[in-house]
Amino acid sequence: MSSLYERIGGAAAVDAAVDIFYRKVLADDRISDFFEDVDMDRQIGKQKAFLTMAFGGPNNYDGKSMRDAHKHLVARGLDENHFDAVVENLANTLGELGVAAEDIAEVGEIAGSVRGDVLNH
Amino acid sequence: MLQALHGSPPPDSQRGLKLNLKQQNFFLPCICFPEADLQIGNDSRKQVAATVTRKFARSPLVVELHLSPETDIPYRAGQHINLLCRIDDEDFVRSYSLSSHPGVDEDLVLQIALVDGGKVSAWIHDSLAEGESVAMQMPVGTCVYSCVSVEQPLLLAGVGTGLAPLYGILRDALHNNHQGPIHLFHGASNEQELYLNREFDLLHSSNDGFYYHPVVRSEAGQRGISQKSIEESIACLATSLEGWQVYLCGNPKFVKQLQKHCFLLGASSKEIFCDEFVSAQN
Repeated sequence: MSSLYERIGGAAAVDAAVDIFYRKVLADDRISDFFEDVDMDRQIGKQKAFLTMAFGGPNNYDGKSMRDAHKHLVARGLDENHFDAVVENLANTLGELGVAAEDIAEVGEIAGSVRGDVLNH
Repeated sequence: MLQALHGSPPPDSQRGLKLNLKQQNFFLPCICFPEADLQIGNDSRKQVAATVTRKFARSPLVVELHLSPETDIPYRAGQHINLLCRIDDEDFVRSYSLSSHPGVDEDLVLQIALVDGGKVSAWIHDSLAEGESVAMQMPVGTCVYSCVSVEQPLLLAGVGTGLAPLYGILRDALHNNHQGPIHLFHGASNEQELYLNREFDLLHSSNDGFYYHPVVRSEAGQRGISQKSIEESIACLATSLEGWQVYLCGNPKFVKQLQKHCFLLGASSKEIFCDEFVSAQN
């Protein structure tokens, strides 16, 4: 049986998803403030790493780097609701790309697995 | 990221890179398994002397400097060079964008704005004279004409002397027989600082697909000068930038804001090329 990453479409799917996903994030009033004044090219790179991880692909994410990367955002008020909004945008992106509902649910679970580290709980 | 000076890096080693970087043979060494000889390196620090062949005022704030280097220097329109200057026994390095085109202009051409309190720009404006020599480093920069299809619509936008590289990129597009529409927006503090408007009027009359959109921020403008901000002007032009290629040059705040704006209007993140002019600290 093929892996989730293969079923979604691998690196090509990450490429296809990243602009749609990041556009949704920037346009979402609930979370867009966290992305003010960031370097867009660098942020797109980070989003691709995040999507690769969430799609079950090869990644170098670990709990410490996740915690360190989001510490300053938690200090600015990043909480559960913001995290849920990001996952919601991710699910909507995949829905637009025609990814099967059960695969979207699996992506949601992987993304959810880093919730504690992102929110520095 | 490294650049191959000779030879082509394997496509797999360019995975995920923007078009302009791919076309200039940049690659990711961590995933590169060369299939043929590759010469990599960086000669951007190499110094050459150049003679000032011409200097004149483009506007009250901008001088144009023509430089003839002692050796032939390959470059792409839109790149920038470092000038190395010694002023009052102090050494300075400043980056300036090239407005020239290697296939059209004999000399390297810079358009340099007088910066408030800027030592180097004041020295160039007031002291540097035709016939004198300056030291420069090799042209670098990745914000260059990078179209895959000549049919693609182009949006070029800059403020102040952000116009200089755009003038090169525009002429490179025309030089490559670009067929899609090209819209160039220039934002300036006042009408006098729209310093290439005559050149653009001429280019517009000889190129059907080229449109020049001057935008001034303050003073009441005369006929043809839009009072709206560049973002509003773009909105009048197109509701979506999907499929467009976008080139943005000028101060970092302007570039970042417009980059985000164009992305939200549908331009692909891989098709927005930026050149931010960062001010020197001294």
